[in-house]
Amino acid sequence: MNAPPAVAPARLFCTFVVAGRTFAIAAAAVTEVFRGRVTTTVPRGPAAIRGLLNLRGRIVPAIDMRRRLGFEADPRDEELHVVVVAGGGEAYSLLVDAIADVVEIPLGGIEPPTAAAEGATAECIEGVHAARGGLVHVLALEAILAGLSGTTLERKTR
Amino acid sequence: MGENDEFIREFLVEAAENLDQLDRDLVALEQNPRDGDRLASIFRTVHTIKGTSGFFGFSKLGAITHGGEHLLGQLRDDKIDLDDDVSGVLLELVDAVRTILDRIEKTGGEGDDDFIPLSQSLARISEEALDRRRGGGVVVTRLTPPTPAAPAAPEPAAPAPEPVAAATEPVAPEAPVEPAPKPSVPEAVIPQPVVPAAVIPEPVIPEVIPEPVIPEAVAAPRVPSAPSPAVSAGSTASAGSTASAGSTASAGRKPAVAEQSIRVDVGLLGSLVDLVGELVLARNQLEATVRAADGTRQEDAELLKVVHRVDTVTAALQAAAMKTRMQPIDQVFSKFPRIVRDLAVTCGKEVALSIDGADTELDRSLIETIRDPLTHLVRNAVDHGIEPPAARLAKGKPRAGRLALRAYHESGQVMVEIEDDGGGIAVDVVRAKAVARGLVTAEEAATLPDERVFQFIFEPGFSTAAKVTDVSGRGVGMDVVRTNIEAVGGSVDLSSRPGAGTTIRVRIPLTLAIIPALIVSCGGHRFAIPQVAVRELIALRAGATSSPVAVEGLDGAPVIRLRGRLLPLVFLGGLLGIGGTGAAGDEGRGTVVVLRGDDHEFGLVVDGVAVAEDIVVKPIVAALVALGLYAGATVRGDGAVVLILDPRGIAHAARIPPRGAGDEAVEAAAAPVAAERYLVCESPAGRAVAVPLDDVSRLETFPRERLQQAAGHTVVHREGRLTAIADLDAALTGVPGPLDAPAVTAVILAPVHGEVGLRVRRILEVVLPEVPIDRALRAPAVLGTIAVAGRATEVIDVRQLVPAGSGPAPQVPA
Repeated sequence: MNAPPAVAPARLFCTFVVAGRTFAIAAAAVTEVFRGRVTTTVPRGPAAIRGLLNLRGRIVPAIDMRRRLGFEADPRDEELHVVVVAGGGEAYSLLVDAIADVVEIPLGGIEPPTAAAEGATAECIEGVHAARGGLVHVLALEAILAGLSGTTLERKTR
Repeated sequence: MGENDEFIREFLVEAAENLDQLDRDLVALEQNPRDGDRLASIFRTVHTIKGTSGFFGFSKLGAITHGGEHLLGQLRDDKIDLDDDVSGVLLELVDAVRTILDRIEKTGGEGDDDFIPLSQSLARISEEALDRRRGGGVVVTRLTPPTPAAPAAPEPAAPAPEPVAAATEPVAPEAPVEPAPKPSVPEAVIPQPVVPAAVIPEPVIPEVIPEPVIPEAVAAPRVPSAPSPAVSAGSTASAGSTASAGSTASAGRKPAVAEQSIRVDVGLLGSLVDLVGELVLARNQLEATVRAADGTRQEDAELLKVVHRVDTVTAALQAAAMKTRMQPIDQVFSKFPRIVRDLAVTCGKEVALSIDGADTELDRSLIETIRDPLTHLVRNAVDHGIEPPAARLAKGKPRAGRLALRAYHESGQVMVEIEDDGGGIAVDVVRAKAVARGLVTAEEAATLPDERVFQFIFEPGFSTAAKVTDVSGRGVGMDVVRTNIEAVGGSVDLSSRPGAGTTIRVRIPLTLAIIPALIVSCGGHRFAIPQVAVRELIALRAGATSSPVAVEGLDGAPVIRLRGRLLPLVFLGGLLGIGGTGAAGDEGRGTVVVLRGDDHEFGLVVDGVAVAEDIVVKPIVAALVALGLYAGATVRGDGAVVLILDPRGIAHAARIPPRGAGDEAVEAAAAPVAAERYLVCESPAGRAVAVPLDDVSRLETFPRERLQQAAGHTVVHREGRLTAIADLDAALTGVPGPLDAPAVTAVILAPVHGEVGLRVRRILEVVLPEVPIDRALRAPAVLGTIAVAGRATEVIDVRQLVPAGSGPAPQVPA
């Protein structure tokens, strides 16, 4: 980084791996990261919600990021990496394959999604960042959460 | 004002609360102008705001509150009467203060609004009121006449003529009323456009932290110079004496209240509740670990005792922490007297508002959610529901419309009713409108029950377009009301009769509360069902001819015949797609949980009922509430998360037809006279016995190790109480029943002398026998027999089993 310090505005991101690709989410939205197991499923719930996690007495839905991003679901039933995020006044947890790093991405460093991203992934990302190690997909939390209710919320018949 | 920020914030918070109280007090004072106590409280509040505004240099605030204080002083000293002009301008003052405070909160300054007109009206109205009192006044036309004791005519009780000077220079005689004894600073910051006579330095209370109560101010000696004869004659004039008596009384009362409560950050309370939840889980793990020890060492027994104690304290702490989240619904209701009063004046209507159950508590987070919807409904009722006085009189109704607000707990939910005796809505007009809008076909509409038809009013844009608005006026924003209420898992219903009025019922869940629940299993999942919705449990034995119930098909919809009545069945496993009882290939064994709400009744078929226990209701995200199936979730003792079923939502999802009014009649006819329900269970030795359900408090299951011997009784120690556990077999046959299962199930009886439980092997079902109890077959501890599935079953005589005084004392040191 040769840019003069404190001039280039940058945001902090947490990066993690889902289905072999690297994704990033604004670090400001992340409240904690841990390993946990989802034991309670939500019958008739949104497909991407794998179940509920007990986060110190708080009930938090666990979003299977493989499913949400349109990849093949991971059937393994073991402790998963959990990224807890806050969005829309509520807490959600994202189930990911592995936690990578906390990185700084300059504001100008996020480019529009490439054609490579498609379907559910394109819906959830605000752009991509070309890092040294490869492409980082920058996720938009609102889009991830909005898609949850959008796909399953049906008007109750009264 | 940097270093003052903290104090200003505190001032704002306190002032906001005081303003709400002012609204209430002023409206109440209108009803009862002789309430000197209330007047004193209003005076104090305005005075405090004035004093503090001077300290912080908020000159506009100081100016208007000064004018208000002056007017209030005249009222207090019984120089003027409280009429519409006076109360109107005082309410205007409250609004202006609120506007300025709002501005200060947002920008730090008072803003550019011009409040000089208000100051002028305060002064003008004060003079006009004085004129009126002297008999030379203008004739006042009252908009709202609910104040019988506020004559516009001169008051004979105050014969002493005011000195003319008092009228022309209203402030001068007033000034000594100001509390002077406190250390005071000259008031330089507050310009006083109203009163040029304010040469007397205005005392400002220089305390850094504004206090709501300034006893000195109230108890200040009344005007030694006494230019106001009304005050010196106070000992004989009723108004004067009540005012002073009232003010001293309240001055003595208020500080006590202040000492009993403190201000706590909401976030801190939230984290307290979360931490307690963590503690509960840690407690459970600790308990499990200690139990896993082999129990041979002396230390283990000691450790177990400590764990019991931790258990007791944790439970008490949990209950106390939960209580901090609850707030009275009064926080919403308290705004309504003012809103209704203002709206009634605007619409030219007369409304008598009554409020019941303002102390009903619900979770703090819900208070804010329901504020707007309830306000909308109340405004609707005044604006559109209640007719103008002339129209009411023409219909033979009282002039003033009645608007009743009620809140109460029911079925684990908070119910809020808003009832008016206004014009009402014709159901057929709504029905026709729904057909016209293509929401239903004419045929469907004809068969829909009225309550379903009224639900169309909550459809977006339903009545905004045409005639219904004219008839009912409701509709604008009603869809928003429903959306908001449903977003928190509540519901709203409307019923109405043309000419008689409209009642709206809002149901709000208690998102965070401890409720008794039934834990059921189905298809490998566990769910909690709020106990209040559960009417009875029935064992489902498909194919068994002796079974009291059998599943029948009715046009493909499963039903059971229950005491001559058809009860629709919902297979939970099928509904949720999780397998279990009723799924293909299943033998059809299971349990029917009969659920009943106020508009539905059905049997929910599950694989089994695990246990009844108190659960802590935790909120779930809106996306899951929106599914309409779950009311929340809870964490069980082992840390597992369990979803709480929403019986009402399930009835809707399964398209259970609403329970009609006729069903009650059928049920009443089918049920035997004075029918009593019985809980049928199996004693440890395998004997089927029945206990009158009225005598049962709850069911509990606990590990066998928890049973202890104390004073010759078997007891279980729970939440600081000892519950005696009686041996059913010993009572019936003299031979104690075996104690082999690791978990003990006990039927806890309704307390007579302390708590007593009956140890049973398992719970079989709840029955309502068609033939009343046969008391011919009596035996020790047996009340008689009933027929269960064709077999005679002994009914336990609870009172014989539990002789008076045998129960241990309810409180024990651990």
